[in-house]
Amino acid sequence: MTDEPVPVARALYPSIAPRRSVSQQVAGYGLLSPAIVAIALLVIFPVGYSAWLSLTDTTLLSSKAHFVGLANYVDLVNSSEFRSALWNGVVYTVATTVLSVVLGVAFALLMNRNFIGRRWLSAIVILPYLIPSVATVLIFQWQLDPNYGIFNQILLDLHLIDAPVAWLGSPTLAMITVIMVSTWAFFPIVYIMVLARLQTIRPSLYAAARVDGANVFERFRYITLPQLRNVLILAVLLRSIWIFNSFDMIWLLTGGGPQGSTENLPVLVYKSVLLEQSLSKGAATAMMMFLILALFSVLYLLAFRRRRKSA
Amino acid sequence: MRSLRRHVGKVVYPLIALAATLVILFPAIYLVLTSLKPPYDVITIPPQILPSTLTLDNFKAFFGSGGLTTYIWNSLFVATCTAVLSTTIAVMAAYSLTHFEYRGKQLLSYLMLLTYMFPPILLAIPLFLVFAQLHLTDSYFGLILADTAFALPFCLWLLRDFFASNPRELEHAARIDGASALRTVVAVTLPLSLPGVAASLLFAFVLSWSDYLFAVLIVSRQSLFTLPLVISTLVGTFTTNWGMIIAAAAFMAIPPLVAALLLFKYLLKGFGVAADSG
Repeated sequence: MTDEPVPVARALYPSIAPRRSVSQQVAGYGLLSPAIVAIALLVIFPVGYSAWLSLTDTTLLSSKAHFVGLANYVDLVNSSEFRSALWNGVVYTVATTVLSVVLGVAFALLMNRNFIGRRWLSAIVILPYLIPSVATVLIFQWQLDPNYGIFNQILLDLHLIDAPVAWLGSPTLAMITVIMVSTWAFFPIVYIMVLARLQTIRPSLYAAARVDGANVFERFRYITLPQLRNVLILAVLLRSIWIFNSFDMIWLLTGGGPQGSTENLPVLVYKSVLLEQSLSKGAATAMMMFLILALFSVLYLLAFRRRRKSA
Repeated sequence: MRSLRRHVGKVVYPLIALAATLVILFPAIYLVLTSLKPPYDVITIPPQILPSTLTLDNFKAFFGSGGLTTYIWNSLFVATCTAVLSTTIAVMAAYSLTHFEYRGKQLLSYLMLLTYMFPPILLAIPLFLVFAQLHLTDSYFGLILADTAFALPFCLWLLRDFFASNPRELEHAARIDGASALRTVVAVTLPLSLPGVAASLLFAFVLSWSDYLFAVLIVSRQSLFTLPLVISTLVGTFTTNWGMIIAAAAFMAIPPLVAALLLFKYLLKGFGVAADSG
């Protein structure tokens, strides 16, 4: 490369060097381009292609696709399968998000204090989030089994139940089980977000409150909670999007059953494409999911923005 | 009185925290304990929590002939390639975003975070179709590409944070001493960001290691199966060799365990930054 001495001013880039020089632009775009190509090809293009597919009658077998307008969407909205999957998804998402927030905040508060071994304990709590979903499902299918599962045994020993429970057997129980397992796997992200925020609260705030005679509950109510408000708003939004989109856990745990009781929209998409081989129906369902999430996100953020202004 | 209470707190509090962690992690702990039981003790009625004797027999079955060695290698290969590819692309992009000024920079970095909004299943269908046409289904390369797309936004975000917080003076000093731009990157920027690069590698590795959705769509030939795929086909069949499968699940949890212990610091930092700006 160039070994000739460079002017000092230019060497001190980018603080002194002329901004947006041609070489800066070229190098900047050049280095960024693989990322742009990857994301365009693997994210933006698929979204556009899905949108197109949802307006046609493409199947896995047909070579020719016809434009059918919004027919797929009309069919979808009129189908009981779609409406029940949407409802299941909403129940699953709301319950799992609420439980994840409760558990995540509880563990964040627990770990937000100096004690021996905190470094390792606070880190290992995120393990459930990182374990592959296939392994998580395997763990729970085996440990919740009515015959040789440890959970039933523990509940029996504690006299909380009289007979072993088939956790995935009935529609209601299966939904509860799916929510429990998903909460176990997803709460650590809420935990990390809340703990990260807790660590930025200045201790002097608590000291001042203590001087003013505030007890531990008052300190939580008037210092911790208001400080957590924004991170909780964000955590609930991101978690509900993620949980609404979650596929692996439900598909592997119940396959959407029994009797479709745990079938959410991602499972419906998967079934439409791979079992019914109807790409258009799958694409239309996925687009509906995206539209629902976009609408939800906008309304959610607007609601909190307005409240913040009026507060 | 007060100091006595404080001393008790010093002992009791860690114990409470430990107990809560053990309870929440119980399913994983029980998995590890069971994987160390003799094969005939794995499934008993009623179930036992503690092993009668400790043995590695289940792991021997898992690694041995008739075991799942092929799939272990497949998973290791795909996850390693994904880690290297997505981190390389993310290093370049993060360097570009932190070291150069150009039009549209802000928009581009927002666009990359936006990609997390899309349901993965929405991306998976067209990806599957396009890959089929490009003959990328049933190939490692196709799976690596898909996993890379999945891991890239987070790796980029992580590395951008690291590059931005490096003291710029060291890079300036290297340039003044006559080092070329490339040399400065290799000798100064990257070593300073080594924890970030390692975190990005580890994160992408674990993501690919765990992936089920893309794998199940892209790979259908059994010889190319990754561990999650092969395990998912083994579970629920009645001839299940539970000892081996439980050992497999315990083995699958090792990279996540390493990642949890090593990455926690960076995740905490990254989410702290994100939560502040959000």
